Amino acid sequence: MLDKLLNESIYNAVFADRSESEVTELRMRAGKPLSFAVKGEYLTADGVIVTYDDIEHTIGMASKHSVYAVNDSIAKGYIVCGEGYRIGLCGEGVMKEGRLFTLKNITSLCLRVPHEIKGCCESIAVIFENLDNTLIISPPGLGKTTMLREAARIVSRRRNVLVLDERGELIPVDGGRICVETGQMCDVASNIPKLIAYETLVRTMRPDVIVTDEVFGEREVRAICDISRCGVKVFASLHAEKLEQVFASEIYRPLCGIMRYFVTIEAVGKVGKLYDKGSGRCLNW
Amino acid sequence: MLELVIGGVLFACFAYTGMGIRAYYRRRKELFEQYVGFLEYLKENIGFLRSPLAECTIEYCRGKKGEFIKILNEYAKMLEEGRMGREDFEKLFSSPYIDKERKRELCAVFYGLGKVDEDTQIDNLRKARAVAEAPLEFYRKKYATTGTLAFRLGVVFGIAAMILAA
Repeated sequence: MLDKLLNESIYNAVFADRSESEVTELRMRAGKPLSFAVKGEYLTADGVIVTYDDIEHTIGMASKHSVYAVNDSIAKGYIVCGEGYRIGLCGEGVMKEGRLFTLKNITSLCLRVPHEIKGCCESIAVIFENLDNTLIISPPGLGKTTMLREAARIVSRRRNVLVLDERGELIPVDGGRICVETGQMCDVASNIPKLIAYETLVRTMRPDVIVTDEVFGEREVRAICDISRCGVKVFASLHAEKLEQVFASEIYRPLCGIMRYFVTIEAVGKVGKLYDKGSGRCLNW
Repeated sequence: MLELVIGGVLFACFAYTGMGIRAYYRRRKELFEQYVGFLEYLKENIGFLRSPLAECTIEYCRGKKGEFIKILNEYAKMLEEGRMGREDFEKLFSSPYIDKERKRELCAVFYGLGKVDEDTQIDNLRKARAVAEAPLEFYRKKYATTGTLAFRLGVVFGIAAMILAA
């Protein structure tokens, strides 16, 4: 996929002497050297200056040359393509009727390469046995989505799991085909705004567990609390550096109220603390 | 006996030429009918499902044959490979059934596909459909008149040549 997404010169500069699985992120800024992350460390491709053509090529391939199909997500600053590649976009905003309508003259891209790390949830297997509300916490880029994906895969072997994937990167679906391995009882709601999905799909699909990425804001917290009240278990993730920050937050306190397990990630794909609110102790420390 | 064979060959040549001319007019008419059909199909698909261009193109071509379908199959490949330069479109529409002016129009329409939001795209497709209406009507008439006439003349000249040879 990356060989199609990137112009030949960019692709060769990064992947001439390393495999695609080693790279987690690429940063393309027009007129600036190409940089990319390998195991969390940023490197610069010597002598490769990113051009507008390189950026245009990547956007064209990511949108399948059909801007109308992805304009809603462009207006939100990203495109998701193929097997969960998320491309963050930065450029000039175009406003229409008081809202951000689209982006033009895009000058920077942040391409995040998805990885499947099977077995990354082994240390939190107790959650799957007890099956209760779980919140995964970490700063961006440490593998919350990967961990949730793995959790969805394991739990959906025996339980009805509904994955609410607003941005299409948790369980990527391309042309109606699920691109990653899931259990046999997994349903994926892709590219549907989460607030709508909480309201409708919970009733129509009757899941045992809902898996959702990057909880954000009061409205979503309220929706999750409502779902939990209905007896549906929730596996969710949240951007935060420390557990204490989440407990201290006005907005997320109700969310903490319904969660039983809290998982922090300390390095890429590596579980830090597993806190069980029920027993009031860390289960892995 | 020889005269009869020569007469038969001459008849076949004239009739075949007439059929060839008629086939040219028919293919040109069909090409534009399929082009207009494709614009309509895109309009519906983009407006309702927002399907990407490659998906729409492949779906439209399914089970169809013709000159324009060959062009669309190549276009689907171009989308897949990211060959979207103006020169790629010039090459795509190099066909004996498309004259210079139409080629310019087709290149402009296809080059502009997928570069704008849904509403603008549908509006552009509507405009392209309106522009294609006049040549389509012209090509239909040409097929009905010149194409049919060429075939009939071919047969008549063939018969005349056969009689003269005999």
